[in-house]
Amino acid sequence: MTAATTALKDPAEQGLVDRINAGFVVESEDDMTPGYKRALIVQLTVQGDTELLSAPAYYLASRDAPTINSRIAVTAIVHDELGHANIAYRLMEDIGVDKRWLVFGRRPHEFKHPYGFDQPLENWAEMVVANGFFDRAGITLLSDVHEHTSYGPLKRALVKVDREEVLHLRHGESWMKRLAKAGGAAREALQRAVDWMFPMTLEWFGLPDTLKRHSDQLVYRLKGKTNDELRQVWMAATVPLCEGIGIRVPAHHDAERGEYVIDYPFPCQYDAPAKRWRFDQPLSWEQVFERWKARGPMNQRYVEMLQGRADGPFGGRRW
Amino acid sequence: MVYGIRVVDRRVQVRMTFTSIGCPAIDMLRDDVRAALRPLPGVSAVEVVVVWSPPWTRHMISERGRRALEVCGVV
Repeated sequence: MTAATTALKDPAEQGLVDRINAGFVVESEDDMTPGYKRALIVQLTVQGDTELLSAPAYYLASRDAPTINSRIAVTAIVHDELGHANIAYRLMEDIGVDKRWLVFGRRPHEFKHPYGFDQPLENWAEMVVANGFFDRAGITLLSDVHEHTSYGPLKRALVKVDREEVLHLRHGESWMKRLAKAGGAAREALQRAVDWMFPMTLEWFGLPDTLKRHSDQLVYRLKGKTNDELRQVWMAATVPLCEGIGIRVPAHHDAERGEYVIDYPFPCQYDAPAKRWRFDQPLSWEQVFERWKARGPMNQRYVEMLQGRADGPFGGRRW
Repeated sequence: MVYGIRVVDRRVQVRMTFTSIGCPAIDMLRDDVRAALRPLPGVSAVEVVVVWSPPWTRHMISERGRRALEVCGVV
């Protein structure tokens, strides 16, 4: 892990890193160097924004729930996600970030959630695959943070978050199995949702290790596994799940290499209006970042659902 | 939340309730109960009957349950 062992130029920063590597747990702002605090705020912003923006996406999809119980289940998931967002924002508030600004002061494109939550979930299959794939990605990332983070308050806060995310995951996986077993149109809708959302979630884990020159989060021990390692953990759960229910995924386990292999040029071009991945058009990661920067089709609407529209009854409450 | 269990001719019937009518985990918990009982020797069928009376209250939480909730920050 070269990124984690590169010495930092500033001796005060390297001093904190040395103490953390020897087992020191950061408990308050007083323990932090400017570099540590910056890295932690970046991480907590992504975490909080991801939880927050899953709420409008899941809320709209809950309208497609096939039963009252499943409608209630997604409503409870939305409730949990808002609570998780509050946990991340509340931790930032403790180190001087304004929570009201976090929620109401930023424009839609300034939120730091993944591209997957700029997308519309347009049927029940997409909703449950969101739980099965996106929440699985969330758990993969957050359980790594919980295990390795040097920041005490976050480690403790993630216990409850983890318990609740496990329930979201179970909801997704049990419904994916049910749709697959039902066959016919339900199974077809499930396959289409997986075709759309498997590549979407693979991108979530970011730059491959060969391209990632430096990771502040690894250096300060705000996470433990690298991007590729996390991607492998995610595939180790989702590929067997799908194969077990006869659903095709564009990845497989290579026993010789001892890892999961992606079966298409990754990353590749995405056709947003058609909700299709163009396996015939590989992209560089710079081009993927350009695509992300342009945001997805629901970015504006989801943020408006949270902030209120500027011309709406509450006037948008812009900063 | 389990109010009673009856076994008749290897068919197990579990009478249970949930913490609220709006509980999001009802389907999953019913699956869990079936999955726990079905493989047991001597069991040929499992039926989970959901009742709403007597209504569940938090005073019914066991000591073990209380400790599990505390770990998650629910006191």
